[in-house]
Amino acid sequence: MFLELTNVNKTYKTGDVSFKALANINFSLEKGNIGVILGPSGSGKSTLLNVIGGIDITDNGAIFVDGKDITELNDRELTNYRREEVGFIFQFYNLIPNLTVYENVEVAANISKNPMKVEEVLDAVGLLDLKDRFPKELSGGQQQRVSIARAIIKKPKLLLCDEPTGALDYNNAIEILKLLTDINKKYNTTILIITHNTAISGIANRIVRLRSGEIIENKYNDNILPAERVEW
Amino acid sequence: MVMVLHKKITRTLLEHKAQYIGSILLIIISSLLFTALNISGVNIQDNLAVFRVNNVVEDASFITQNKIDNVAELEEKFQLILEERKQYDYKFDEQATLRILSETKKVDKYAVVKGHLLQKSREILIDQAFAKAHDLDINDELMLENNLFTIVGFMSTPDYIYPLKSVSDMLKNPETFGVAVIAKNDFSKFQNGLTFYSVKFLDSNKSQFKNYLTRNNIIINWLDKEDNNRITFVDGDVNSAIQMGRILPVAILILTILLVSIILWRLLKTEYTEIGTLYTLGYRKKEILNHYLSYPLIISLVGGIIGTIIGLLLVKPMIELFAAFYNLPVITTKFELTYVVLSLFLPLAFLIPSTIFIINRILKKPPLELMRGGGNKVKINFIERRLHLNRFRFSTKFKIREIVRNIPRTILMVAGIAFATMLLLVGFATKDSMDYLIEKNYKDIYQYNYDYIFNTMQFSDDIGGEKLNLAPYTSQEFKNGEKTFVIYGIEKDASLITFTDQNGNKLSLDQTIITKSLADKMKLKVGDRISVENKLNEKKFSITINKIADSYLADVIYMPLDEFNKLNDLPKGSFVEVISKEWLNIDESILLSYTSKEDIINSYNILIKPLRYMIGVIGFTAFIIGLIVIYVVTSLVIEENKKNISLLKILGYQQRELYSLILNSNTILVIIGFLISIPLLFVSLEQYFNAITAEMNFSFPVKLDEINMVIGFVVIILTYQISKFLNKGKINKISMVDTLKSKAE
Repeated sequence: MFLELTNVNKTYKTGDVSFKALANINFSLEKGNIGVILGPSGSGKSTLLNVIGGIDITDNGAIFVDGKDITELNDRELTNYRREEVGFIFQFYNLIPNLTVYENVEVAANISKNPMKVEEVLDAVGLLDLKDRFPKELSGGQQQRVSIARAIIKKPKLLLCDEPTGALDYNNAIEILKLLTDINKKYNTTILIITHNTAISGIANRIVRLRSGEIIENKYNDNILPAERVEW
Repeated sequence: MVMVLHKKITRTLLEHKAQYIGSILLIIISSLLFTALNISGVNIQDNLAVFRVNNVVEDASFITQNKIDNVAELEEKFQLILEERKQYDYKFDEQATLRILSETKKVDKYAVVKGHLLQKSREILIDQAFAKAHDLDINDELMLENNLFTIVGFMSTPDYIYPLKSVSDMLKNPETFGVAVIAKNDFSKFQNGLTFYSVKFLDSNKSQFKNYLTRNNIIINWLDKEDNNRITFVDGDVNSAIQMGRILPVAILILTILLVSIILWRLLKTEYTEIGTLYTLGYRKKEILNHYLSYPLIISLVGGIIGTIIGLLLVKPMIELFAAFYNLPVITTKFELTYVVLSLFLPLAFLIPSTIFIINRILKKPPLELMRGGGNKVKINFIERRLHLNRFRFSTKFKIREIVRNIPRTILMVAGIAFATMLLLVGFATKDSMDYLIEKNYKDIYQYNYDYIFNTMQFSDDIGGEKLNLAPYTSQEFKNGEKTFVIYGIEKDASLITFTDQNGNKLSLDQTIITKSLADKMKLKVGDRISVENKLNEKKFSITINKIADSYLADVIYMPLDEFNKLNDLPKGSFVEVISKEWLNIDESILLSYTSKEDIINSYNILIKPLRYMIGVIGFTAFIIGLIVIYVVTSLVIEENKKNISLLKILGYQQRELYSLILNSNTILVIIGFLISIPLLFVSLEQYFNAITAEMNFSFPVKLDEINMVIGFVVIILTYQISKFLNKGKINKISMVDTLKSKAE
C-alpha cells in the first residue's frame, strides 16, 4: 500500500475541555489511486489531511507513506517530507497575493531538489499565457489551477486536496476535477481529496466517510466516473 | 456601550506590545529632548541676559597709548559708562596663567558664585573651573608676587564667561588659563599690570567717542563686544542647544507618525469585519473614531508624560553643567510652563490628525464592504505591476516584492535607518570636523610655536621671529549687513604661515589672500574688490582678493606687510605681532598676550573630552531609535506575511530559509538608509555649522573619517541583526494549521 493509516488518534485539548478529532482511523490507498474522504463540518477530515500531510501530529497510531512511518519523523524530517513528497491544494488556494502566477509556482520549485520547469507546469494547467498576472487578476478557477501547478511542480508522490472545489462554481469545479484526474493519470500521482460534496466521490478509487472523527464507511468505488460526468 | 469597546484597547496593546512600546519609547525620547534642551537652553539664555544687564556687560574694551584722566567728563559728554581696569597675567605654574583683574564697580561687574564679595585687602575671587583644575578651594591661600591672598569665593564676570587667554583663541582650558579679581588698591602690588578700559554706551555715540579718542589719544586696540569670543561664544552654543532641542524632537515625532500610522493602518485592516459589525450593530462613526483614537492618545500621553518628567528632572543638572562649563552664575531656574505644555501637546498634535485621517479613510467604506473584509483585499500597486523580475532568483524576487508592496513601511524603514545613522554619525562628524580644523590649521598652515601680540606698535628688528601687523576691519558688503574681520599684514618671505588653495597649491604671500571661511560668509571670489573700514581709526580703503586659502580657523585677510602699513598710514616696518618657532625672550610689560601652540593643542584635547561622552550618548540614542524602527518594521513584515509564512512552512521551507526570505528582505533598505544618511548628514551639518558660526570668526568644514563611517555602518548592521534575532521567535510561533483555515488575510 502506498498510504496506510493504522489506529490513528488525535485529541485536541483546550484547558479542561478535550475534543477527539480522530478516533482509531484505519484505511489505505494504493499508489496512483484517488481517494476521497467525505464528511460534514467537524467530522475530522481536515485534521486527517493535516496529519497525513505532516502539518499536525497524531497522538498515536502509524501513518505509512510509501513505506515510511511519518509519525516517527522529527520536525526537520517532517519539513523535508512536506518539501519533497507531498503537494497541497487548499480550498481558498492560499496563493501569495503579491507574487505573480509564475512566482507563486516558483515558491515551491525554489526549494525542490528536482522540480519540473515552471513553464511546463503552467502549460499543463493552461495558464502559461497568464504567468505575469497577479492572483487577484484571476478567476477562482484560475487561482486554483495556480495552486495545483504549485503543488505538482515538485513531482510529489502524494497530492493532498482540501476541498479543492469548495470555493468554485460548478463549471470551474468540474474543470479542476478534470485537471486533477489528468494529473493522476499523467504522473501516476496518488491523490487524496477531502470534501463534503459526495458527488466528487465519483472520481475516486476509494471512498472513506467520516463522522465525529470516526470512519463510518470505507469502500472501493467500482463505478469510477470521468470528471466531466460528475454532477451535483 | 462605548466603554465596553474600550476594554479591547488594553488587550490589543498587550497583544502587540512591542510595537506600541517602541512607539512610546520614541515619543519619550522626543519629549525628553524637547523639555530638557529647550528649558535648560532658555534658562541659560535668561540667566545670561539677567547677568549681562545686572552686571553691566561692556559694549567694547580698548587700550590707549596714554592714560585717560577725564573719565567722568567723557561719561557725561558721550553718555557712556567708562571704567579704567587693570589686568596682570600671573604665572601660576609652568603651564598655567591666572589673569588677575582689578575689581570693577561700573562695567563688567563680577558676580560671586560661591563665597562672599571682596571685603578687605588681600582677598581674591577666582573662577570656579580654574579652581577645580588646580585643586583650589575657598579659604585657600595664594602667594602672588610675594603677596599672600586668601580665596574668599568663586566668581563670574560678564567679559570672561568663556575664559580665553587671547581674544582670538577658540578653545578654553581651565588647566592653563583662568581669571581672578582683587581689590583695586591691591593691584598696586603688581608692577607690570596692563591698563585698559571697558565702556558701555548709553546712547549711540560710539563713533563720536572713538573719533575723540583718535584725535586726543591713540587707540592701540579696540574690541567690540560682538567680536569678543569670551562674551559671544556662549550665545552660539546655547542657540545650538535650543535649535537641537527643536529639530531633533520634531524629526523623531515625524518618524513616530509614520510608525504609528502604519501600525494603526495594519490594526484597522485586520479589524475591517469588526468595524463593519459595529456599524451594523448601530455604532456611530464618531464612536468608532473615538475608540481608535484612543490608541494614539494613549501612546502620546504615556510617552509625552514620561518623556516630559524625565526631561524636567534633567533640566537642573543640565543648567548646572552648562553654567559650570561657561563661567556663569545660576541666578534663577524656571520650569517654563510653555515648554512643558508643548512637550505634552506636540506628540498629540502630530499623532492625532494623522490617525483621524487614516481612520476616516476606512470609515468611509460601506458597512457591508467592511463586513466582508472587502477593503482587505490585497492591492497591487503600480510599481509592483511594472516590475520585471524574471532574471532574478526567486528569493531576490520575493524580497524585492516585499519592499515595494508596502511603500509607507519601506519609507519608514529607510527614513528610520537614515535618521538613526545621521544621529549616530553626527557626533563622529563633529569630532572629525574639529580634528580637521585643528590638525589642518595648526600642523599644516600655522607652523609657528609661539605667537606674541604687543600692547604698542613695535619697530625694532631685534625682537626676532616673523613680523605681522593687524587691525580689526568691517565691511558693509555682507548679506547680514556688517561683517567684522581682521586684516593681517605679513612679510612676503614669511615661512611660518603656509597657505594652500583648495587644490593644494601653495600660495605666495606677496598678494591679498582671504581665508575660505570669510570668503564663504561674504560670498567673495578671486578678483572681487571690497571696501573695508579700520575699526580703530575708521580709515577706509578697498582691496582686491587675489587668492582664497583653504583655511577655516579664522575669518581673516592677509596682505603684504608693507602694503598693509601703507594703506593704514602706519610707519614702514611697524608691527604688533611676532610669530616664532622658538621661544623669544620678550619683556612681558610690552606684551598684550602670547600663546603657544602646545597650549592650543592641549586646550583642544581637554575640550573634546566631553565630546566623547556626547558621541556615546547620541550613539546609544541612535542605536535605540534604529532598533525600535527596524524591530517594528520587521515585526510588521512578519505580521503582514503571517499567512504566507504559514504556507511556506507547509510547503517545506526550513527555518533558516524562512528567516532569509522574510527577515532579510529589509537588508537592502538598511544599506540604502545608511547610504542616504551620509550626504544628508553632510548637508544638514553644514547648514547647522554655518548657522552657529555665522556670527563667529571661523567656520566648520564638515568632515567624516572613513573609519567612523565604517563604525557607523557596523553599528547599524548590528542593530539590524539584533532586531532580526528578536523577531525570529515570531516566525517560529506562526502555526501551519490555523492560518490555512482563514479565507482572507
